[in-house]
Amino acid sequence: MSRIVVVTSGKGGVGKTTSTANLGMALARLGRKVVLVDADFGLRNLDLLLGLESRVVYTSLDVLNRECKLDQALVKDKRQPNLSLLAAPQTRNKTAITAVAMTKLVEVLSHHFHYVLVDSPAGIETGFQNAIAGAKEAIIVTTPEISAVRDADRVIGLLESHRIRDIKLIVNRLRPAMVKSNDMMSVEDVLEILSVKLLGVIPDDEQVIVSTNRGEPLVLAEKPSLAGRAYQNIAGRLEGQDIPFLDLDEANRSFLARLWKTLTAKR
Amino acid sequence: MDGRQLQDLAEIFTAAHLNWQTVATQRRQTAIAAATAGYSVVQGEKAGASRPPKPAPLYLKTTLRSGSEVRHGGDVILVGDVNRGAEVIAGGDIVVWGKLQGSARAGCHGDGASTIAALHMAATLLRIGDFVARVETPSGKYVPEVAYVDRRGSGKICIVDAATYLVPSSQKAQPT
Repeated sequence: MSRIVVVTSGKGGVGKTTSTANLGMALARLGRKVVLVDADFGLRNLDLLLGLESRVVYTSLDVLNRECKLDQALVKDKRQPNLSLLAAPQTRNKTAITAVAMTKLVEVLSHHFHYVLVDSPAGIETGFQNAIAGAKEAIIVTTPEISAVRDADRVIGLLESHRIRDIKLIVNRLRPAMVKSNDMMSVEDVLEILSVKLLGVIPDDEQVIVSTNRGEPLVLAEKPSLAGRAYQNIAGRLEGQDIPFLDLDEANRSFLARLWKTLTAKR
Repeated sequence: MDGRQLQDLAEIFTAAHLNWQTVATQRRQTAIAAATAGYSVVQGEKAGASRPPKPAPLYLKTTLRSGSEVRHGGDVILVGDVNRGAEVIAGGDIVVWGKLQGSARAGCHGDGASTIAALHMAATLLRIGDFVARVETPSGKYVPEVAYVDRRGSGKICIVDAATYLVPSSQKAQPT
């Protein structure tokens, strides 16, 4: 059975596209056939994060307008043949497509792939409505900030009214030290408000910026950073594996311990 | 209508590119089904009617998330949380068997004798009749509390522990 999952958040800039790219790549590495659909018409980014910008010739709109075949529009990742991308048109806006067309599109894709991951635009207007149209389940991405959590709550309500009941949560950009000093909401605080199932927690990581600029998802690194490992674990959990949550705090300590070791070794 | 019928209707609306957000109904069953499905609900307010008699209480078992609104002419009993950004508006009393963190308006037709009760009172805004209260710092107490208008004393909305709140003697059941 293939799964159609929309990655959404309400608020912008919380890591929808980063999460989509990394989860897609991680799932593909687990041997699943994955297609990533960029539903952010007019503000497409997903191809950049995957380093596939130069290889996008056709977009989903060309497929819907019958200007090309679906196969032609799918960009296959060279590093990971299990992963494909269906890019969004950059020159059009959100009204270029209808929810009905989008539903049809993801349904056709679901016949050829194990996972169809739809990267939703920010907001709750037309673009969002289109992105969730064909989805059977949803992954909510939020950061531990009151504004992001409020928007996530609103989006969960909207998803429920569209009969998407399978909703899971990723808490992104957590800083354990700040949580400890009571300067940041904890994962528990977020869960208390949203009361949905937790899929994983991603620590705040500078490597995300580096990987975005290079077009190489974190999970591709030979020795993935903590955030990369967190994404790998989430992919495993989506696959039904029982993987314990990373102890971000302990990792922090072990990192300091490692740093200390290298410093003392040099002397 | 039941959940199934609402779903059918929603599919028709979606096909016509209409975004369905609010359900206005006279029937309690429909209101419950609609609220459970996540729609905003308007119940019991007939358009054009001068002042309809107070309808039967609305009993809901759901969590109201940010952006949703429940509006009912009578009393509202909600089993679940009212999250921040959600709103309950009732012609009569409001009872929230859960956390009240959004805003609540009891006695919306001007009945200042209405009350708002919650297991955990942390509302952003409380309105009873024509009175308004902002809750700057929620008490943080996890005890059931009741908000009412203290008409004999301060003339403002007061919040007290449910255990110490006394129903006005005129409304108390008289032992026979």
